Amino acid sequence: MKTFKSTLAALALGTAIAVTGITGTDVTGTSSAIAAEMHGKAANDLRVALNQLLAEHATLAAAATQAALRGRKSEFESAAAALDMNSQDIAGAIGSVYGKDAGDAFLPLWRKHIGFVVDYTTGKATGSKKKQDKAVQDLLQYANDFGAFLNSAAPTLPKEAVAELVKTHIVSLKEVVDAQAARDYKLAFVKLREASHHMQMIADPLADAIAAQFPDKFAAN
Amino acid sequence: MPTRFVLAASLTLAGLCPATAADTISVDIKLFQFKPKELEVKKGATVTWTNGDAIEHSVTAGKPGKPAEMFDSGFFSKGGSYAHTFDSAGNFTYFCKRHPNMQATVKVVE
Repeated sequence: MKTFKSTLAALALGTAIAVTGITGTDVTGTSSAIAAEMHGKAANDLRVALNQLLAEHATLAAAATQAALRGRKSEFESAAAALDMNSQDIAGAIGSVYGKDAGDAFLPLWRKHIGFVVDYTTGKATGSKKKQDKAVQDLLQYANDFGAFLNSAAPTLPKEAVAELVKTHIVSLKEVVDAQAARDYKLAFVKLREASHHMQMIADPLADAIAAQFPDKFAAN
Repeated sequence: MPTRFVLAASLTLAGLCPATAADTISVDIKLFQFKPKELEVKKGATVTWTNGDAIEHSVTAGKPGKPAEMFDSGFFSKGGSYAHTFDSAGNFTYFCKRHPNMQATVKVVE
């Protein structure tokens, strides 16, 4: 029970981080550095950068959920802060291509799905099927929002196709959390590798669409 | 340099669209943003919002969690639009009910 209390306290903090980004301040300056690097990159470099950012997202999310499920508050807080820095980097990358306002609009949208993953993890930690189901529904709805955002940014990316890819991302992370909750660590890491690899399915078409949209910014290699 | 031009340039740099005498002013909804985010119009002007995103948005007076009764478009889809005529002066904030981070302001002047 003590573990659950610790977990919930940490999760509540995690939600606050996701919503406000207070402790997710980019102390390393990584976001601006990546944004700066995005300019003048070759198309393949852009693809590598987005793959790196999105794969890191999956890895850090899994680290945060594992710490939360085991009630390791300090570790969770650090993982959540690192995850939020990654979120800022991704938003910075979007902003470097589509403008700061677009990056600023993207960040809360992106953080929103992390909040829903936190909700799902809370449901697993407390054994609340209702909370888990609500989180899954929220995440599936979010997939449509995300698809719409990328479609607006890069019209060659069909909203429905992007939404399906995001749904797969959500399911893959859910499988990681489920395995972590069951303490089936062998399966958890198999699923984590799958989740990380799947991010390429989003990063590659996004990079290709951006490169095609802005050929002057992202020269073909 | 004419004063009017300097003022307009200053307002534009500040991200604020200067008051316009036009009866109808357009606001684009694109990339989950209201553009322009800050708009200044004259009393009696009609503002028309057009959704360019492939998802439903709303134009709802007030702030998230505290909507005002002044206007509410309900949700409308890509290509759809909503218009509201501002009959009184003041600052009017609005937001999208589905995406509460989308917030903007219309300043209505005499």
